[in-house]
Amino acid sequence: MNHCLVIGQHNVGKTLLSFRLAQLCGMKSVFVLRELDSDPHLQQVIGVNEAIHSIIDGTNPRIVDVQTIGIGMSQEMGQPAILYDSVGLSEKFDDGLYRRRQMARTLDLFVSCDLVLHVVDASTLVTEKLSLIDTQIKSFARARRVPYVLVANKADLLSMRRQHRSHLTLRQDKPLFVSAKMDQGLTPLKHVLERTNMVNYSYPFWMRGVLN
Amino acid sequence: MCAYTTITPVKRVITLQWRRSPFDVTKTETIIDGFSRGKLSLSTSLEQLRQVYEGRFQRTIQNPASVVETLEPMSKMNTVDPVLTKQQLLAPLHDLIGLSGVKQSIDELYAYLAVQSLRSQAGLKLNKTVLHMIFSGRPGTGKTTVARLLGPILRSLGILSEGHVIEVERADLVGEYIGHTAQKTRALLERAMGGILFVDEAYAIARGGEKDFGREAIDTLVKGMEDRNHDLVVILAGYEREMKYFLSLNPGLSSRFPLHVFFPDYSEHELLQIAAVMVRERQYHLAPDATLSLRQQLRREQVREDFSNARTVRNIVERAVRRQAVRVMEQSEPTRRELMTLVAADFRGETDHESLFGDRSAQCWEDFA
Ligand SMILES: Nc1nc2c(ncn2[C@@H]2O[C@H](COP(=O)(O)OP(=O)(O)O)[C@@H](O)[C@H]2O)c(=O)[nH]1
Ligand SMILES: [Mg+2]
Repeated sequence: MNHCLVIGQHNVGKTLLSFRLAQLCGMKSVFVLRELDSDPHLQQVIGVNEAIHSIIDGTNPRIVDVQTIGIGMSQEMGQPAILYDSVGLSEKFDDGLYRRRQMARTLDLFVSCDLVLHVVDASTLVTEKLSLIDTQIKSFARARRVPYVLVANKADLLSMRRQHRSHLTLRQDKPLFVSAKMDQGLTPLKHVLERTNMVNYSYPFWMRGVLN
Repeated sequence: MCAYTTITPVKRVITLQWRRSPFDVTKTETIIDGFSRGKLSLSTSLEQLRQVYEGRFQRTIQNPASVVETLEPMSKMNTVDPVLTKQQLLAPLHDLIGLSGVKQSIDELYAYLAVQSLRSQAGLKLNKTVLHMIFSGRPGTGKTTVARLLGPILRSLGILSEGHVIEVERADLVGEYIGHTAQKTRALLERAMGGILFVDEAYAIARGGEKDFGREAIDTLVKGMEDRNHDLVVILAGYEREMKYFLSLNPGLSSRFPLHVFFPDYSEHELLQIAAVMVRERQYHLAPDATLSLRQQLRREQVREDFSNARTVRNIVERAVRRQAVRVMEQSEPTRRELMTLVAADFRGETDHESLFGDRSAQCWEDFA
């Protein structure tokens, strides 16, 4: 059971991507747990398709809590995984202290998770470079030596030419261009999930994170 | 009596734990805490976190010897006077019938911890104590009872701050949905902080095989034990053979539970003593022939596969009490003496057997001791 963290700035499509991944892994409904400040956390089982539709239509109220989404992998892979759909990281705190605590929770997960899916919004890459926060997220994941994937979301908004250009400049980070809205290019992510799950399971728990 | 204890060398356990988290956990915690209270900006905290990890890899390469920890003194040690309180503390444990091997193990543990506290007062170096335990033995041999008594003992030694005991079993830890299990387990760990988390029939956690959420429960448990190194003792309990198998399947686990305490079956004599106490507690007494009949009944039960020691004794006694009631009702005017007497006939016949798993109503029988 791997703990995978979906991290990134806000409004880059982390929530939509998480639900898309659950859908891709064959989940019809998922167990979702919202980590609120109040003690009993909010737990519910929600339909994946409805969740996706409501995000795309914009009828979904914006969520500023860390939420845990449990997904099962395909039959042949066996091991399930947990996705943490985190809150967007940013320097501005319009929503005050609550938001800040949720971001601290995200950092907590960042130092302990087994896989990092770092989502950036491909359409707002300024001259195809990562912003300061994204660069820092990337270098922390590198320093921790945790399995890491850079996901450039919203590729549907880019012209072919611009996408090609970003590909070139981000070359060392091996970005994965996807569109969560159009459901394009997500299959490799599922394979990453499956592979890291398998790798981790061939070692006893206490050796994890030591060997890579 | 064939009770034994093994306290595996504690040093080996330390090295294993340090391989998993060779960096300073408190450092990352401080940074994140600073961020959540608005002292650090996001980019500063990310940068500082990165430096902690960069440092971690350099340090382990340069100085592999640093894995052997020098230890901080245990909390609140100075407040205990071990010699004075020993008798009072261990009295309830010694009052239990039988279990001489277990008592000896706990005595040893007590002496060890008490000496540790004296050493710390004298400013000497301490060994790190990992107190997670495995209690193996058949049902009804007193595992839960001893765990409940251990809470206060560890508390007065300053190892635990509360000393309460949270008793759980598979259904409390393992959830129905993916992600549910981790949540349930974490919540229980949270409740057990400062005390003992007693997992009954622990081998059953892994019963469901590879795809089961039991795996997740074990992972969360181990992770939680590591995150909260102090002020929590986890005890896994269950049949000896099943526990051995369970540990062999999870090699990471056995190194984290250095103390094994074996609870042997009670001897016939001890079972009779237990029965006598139970009968007395209920304000009955045994007619001379009843003792014989009870002894025969116990012999017959003892060879059964599902014999569960004190619990079976309780069932036998309670059944006899019920049959006595029926018998007495048939008499016109029973005397006080007749109301109290259990005779041989009350003990004859089959005993009811409860299912072996998940019996939690064992609480009644610890009061007898
Ligand atoms: N065009 C386009 N829009 C997207 C894509 N992914 C997400 N969005 C939109 O981005 C907005 C924010 O998505 P959300 O998942 O809530 O972002 P989060 O704040 O990172 O969780 C929503 O309105 C989505 O419809 C994509 O691949 N393409
Ligand atoms: Mg979101």
